[in-house]
Amino acid sequence: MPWPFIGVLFASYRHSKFSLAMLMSSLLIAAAGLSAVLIINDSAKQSYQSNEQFLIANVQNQIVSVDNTKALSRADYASLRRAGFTELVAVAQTRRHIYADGKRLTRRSIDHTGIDTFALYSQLSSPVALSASKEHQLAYEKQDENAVLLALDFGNVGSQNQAIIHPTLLDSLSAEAEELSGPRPIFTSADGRLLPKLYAHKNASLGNDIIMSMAALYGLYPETELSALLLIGDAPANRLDALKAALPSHLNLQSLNNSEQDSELTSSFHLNLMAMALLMFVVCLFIVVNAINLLMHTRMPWLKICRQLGIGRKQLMLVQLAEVGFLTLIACLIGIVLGLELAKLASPTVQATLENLYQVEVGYGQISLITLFLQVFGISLVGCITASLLPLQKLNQNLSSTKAVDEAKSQAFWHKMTWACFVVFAVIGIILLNFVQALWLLLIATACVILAGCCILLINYPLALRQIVKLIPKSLPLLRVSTKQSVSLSGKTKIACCAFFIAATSNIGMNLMVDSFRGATFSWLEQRLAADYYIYSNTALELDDIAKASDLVIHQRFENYTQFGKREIQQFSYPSTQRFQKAMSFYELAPQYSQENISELWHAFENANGILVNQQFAFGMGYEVNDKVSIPHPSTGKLSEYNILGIIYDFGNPSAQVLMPIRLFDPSTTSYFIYSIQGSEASIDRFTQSLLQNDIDIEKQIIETSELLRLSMQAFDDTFVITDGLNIVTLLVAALSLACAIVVIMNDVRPQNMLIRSLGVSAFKTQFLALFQYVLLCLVALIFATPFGILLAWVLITDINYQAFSWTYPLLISLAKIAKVYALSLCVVILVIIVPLIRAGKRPLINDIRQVN
Amino acid sequence: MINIENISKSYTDAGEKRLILDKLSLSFERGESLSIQGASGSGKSTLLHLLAALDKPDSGKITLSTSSGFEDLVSFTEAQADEYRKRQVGLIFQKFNLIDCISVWENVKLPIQISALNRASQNSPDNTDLLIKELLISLDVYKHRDKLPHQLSGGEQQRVAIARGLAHKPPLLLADEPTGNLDSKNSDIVSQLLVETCKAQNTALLMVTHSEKVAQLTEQQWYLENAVLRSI
Repeated sequence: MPWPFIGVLFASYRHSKFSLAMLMSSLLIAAAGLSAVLIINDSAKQSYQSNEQFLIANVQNQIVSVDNTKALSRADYASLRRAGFTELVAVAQTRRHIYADGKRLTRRSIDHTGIDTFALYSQLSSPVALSASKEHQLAYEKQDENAVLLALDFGNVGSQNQAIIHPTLLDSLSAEAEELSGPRPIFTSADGRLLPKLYAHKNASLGNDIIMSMAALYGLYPETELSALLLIGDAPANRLDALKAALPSHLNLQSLNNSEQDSELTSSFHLNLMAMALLMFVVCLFIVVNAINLLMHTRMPWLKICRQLGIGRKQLMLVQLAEVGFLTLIACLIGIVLGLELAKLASPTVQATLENLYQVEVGYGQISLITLFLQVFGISLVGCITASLLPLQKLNQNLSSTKAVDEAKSQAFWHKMTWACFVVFAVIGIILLNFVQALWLLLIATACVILAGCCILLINYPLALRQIVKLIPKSLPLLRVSTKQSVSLSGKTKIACCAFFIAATSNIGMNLMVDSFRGATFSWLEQRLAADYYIYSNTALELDDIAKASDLVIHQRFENYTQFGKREIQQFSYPSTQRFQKAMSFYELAPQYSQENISELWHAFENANGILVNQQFAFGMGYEVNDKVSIPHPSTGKLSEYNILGIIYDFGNPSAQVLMPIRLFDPSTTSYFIYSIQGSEASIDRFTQSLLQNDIDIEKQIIETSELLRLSMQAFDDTFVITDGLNIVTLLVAALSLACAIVVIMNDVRPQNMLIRSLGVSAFKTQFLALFQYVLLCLVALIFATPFGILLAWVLITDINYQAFSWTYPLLISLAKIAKVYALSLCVVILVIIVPLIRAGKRPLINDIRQVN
Repeated sequence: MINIENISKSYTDAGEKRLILDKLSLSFERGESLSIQGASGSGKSTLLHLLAALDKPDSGKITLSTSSGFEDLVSFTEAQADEYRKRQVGLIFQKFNLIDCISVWENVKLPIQISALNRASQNSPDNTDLLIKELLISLDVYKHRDKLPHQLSGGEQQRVAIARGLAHKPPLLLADEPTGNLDSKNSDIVSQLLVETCKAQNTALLMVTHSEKVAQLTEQQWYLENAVLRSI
């Protein structure tokens, strides 16, 4: 082991503080970003799973009511248990706000879940569970750990006056309550009933839930109906058949393995987040390359002396690789701590994103720090070692005693290689975009698009800069010299410029996509929200007479959920009045209809000859216009066949939805009601007064359309806060990478700048010219990034959005958005490089002359 | 033209004050050529830097007489020093004399363009081109005018550097070991050309060199030792 060399290595840190700081900061950003994303992903996954799995992991089947005509009752549960099906556990759930001293504490309603804890506890030793094979039994026990814990907790607590809640949720509730009503708050329901005593329970499957015994829930909300009977564990087929036979006609045994669609939705979220994090990570690695380059550059004279003293190249390389590994280890340890803090900071935004995109509530995950460390360190180490290879190979060449390779030949070789890479990336990208549907493959295709762009940039960078030189008038000799210098600089900053190009392309692409999405959502909402006011309600309201008396036109709209294939779909009534017809925003009409004869479409809709489906329904399930679909009738639940008349836009809705005429719905079986109201402000005031006189207190539920639009767009913007944040971080990281490269270049161009300064050009002017060079390099990279950014936005809209969310929308190329990315990118670059530039400018000319000569 | 009066300069090296120039005085006129020899670290380059207004003496005066009067180099601000280097001085270094991304012709033209940037009266483009052409011919590098510096040999590069140093017709040319990087044959050619071209342009030449042979080409030869100049 070359110990003296290690001593030299550590001594060199005193002289390479900047490069070391760059290297460490890039490693820290990469590790912290990666940890934060892994934590967010993991906790989102755990919470989402808990939401989907109804708290208990190993539930394969559940019994629910067939339709809304007859609900699942306690009597049904009792008779099934009496018939010997003791493995069934009843669950009831209601979503409510929590109060303290009559004041509402919760911003969002909390799931109050009642569970038959005695049944859950007793079924752990049930004959069904014991009869399973040993292997199966082990898996069952492991998977059902949460259920056991819960059951044991309830078993120990035993009282109906106790409930389990996640500590974080309890803390936030307590903090809210203390603010409102002082210490030792008493939590109640809206009507003042005392909540059971809340016990903090660190179980990942508890999200925004309060779990209590069924008795406690009925004590609080007596009107709550049973939601489902869960069949715990993998029951044998004959047992399932027996259960099916014993079920009354209004109940149905459902397999819960049909949540593929939902898991796809979360995986699309994870994939998107992961893709953004990996993008940032890759750009960080570009800094690592540049920072190591810079480090090697500073150390070169000493390394050469080490070589002269007889230390082998291999030893030098190995020690430096070990150094990179050691620095990565330190960065990962600190990065994980930073990542945890970042995840905490991002948590409300992630909650908002998931809530808006998937309508689920994110809870609080349990993170294994050891697993997290191993993941982050493993990925970072592989990345860093890979990133070190290029500068180390270059160093190896420099330290080699053999003659250097022919520069011209090497350039020609790399030029050909870049062309070859472009062809490979372009071909893979085109094939994947046209022939595959898996989201992860499409993300690879997206990466190929960006990398193909990188190759184009590398091939054309010097050519473009030479063209710019021609545009600069001869009367500006220094500017011409500076631009000419940037041509040679472009060859030395390739890696950094590629990082900048990737960041710029993804920024332009994401910005255009979000902007197009925002524009499409806004115009769609503006068109769709045809009424002046809306009332949303879980119960049917008798409003017609009061509305008429108040000179208002009111349209009742119903919403149901029904099972279609393996998916749950929304059935939504839609009024076919002139105003609502105009409000409909179509993605595609059946070919027999056009804007000229659209009334015929509405006529067919009115007569229930056809339905309208949203993009999520059509794309997600592979239907096209004029296809026939058999879906349950909204009132009777019997399967009926309908023709798809058109596909409509329905952004932000994760569910597949069909629009049907109102006459098919039965208010008594509908679960959700929307009232669209048309009328003046004065009329709505009269209407509110009349409602109060009739003891209908729904004033707070009346929402003005403009307010609804504002709230919707607010939710939209909240959803993309993470994307915006990651975009800026990526850009910053790319700019840092560029700064590293520029510091190396500054040493290389020092003799040239010294010469220009010796001709009487001021330090300020020289540094301004240097700034111009770097800004020009970035500007050219941005110009190249623009078409690829637009292409990326198109891919994101037509392929990624299509596969991830089952919706698509027109691409809107906003020059203002592109200009904003340009301005932001250049500002970030100037911000990052201004410090080394000022430092260089402050150095007296005489120092440079002494050093150079 | 240049009058150096009792200048002293010292450096602090590892906490110890070291006198480099001790009450040194010297004066010379346009068209004259001087060489300064001395051991490494004797202060030759320091003297050159003081004359180029890159550094300031601890004490003493350096004055430059021009058609518009006397200028005190010691009291120059940074902007004045820049302006002085732009118009009154040409500098030639041992290496890194040319900007590698522009041609020989453009390298020689650059100081003319820079010094003419803020001037109301500029040389006409024809005159400038003629001047550069003459210079390049006299230095025997005209045939390389369109080449990039790295396409030239070391000797050719230094000849172009001389042309660049004289292109804007400075009254004073300061050369810091201009032949230090060249073989003896090239060294002879370049130094000969340097002295002759300065004479032809009526430019004062102050050259720092280690080579006695090169020094002998100049009219005045000085040796710097123990912070004091003595004539050879």
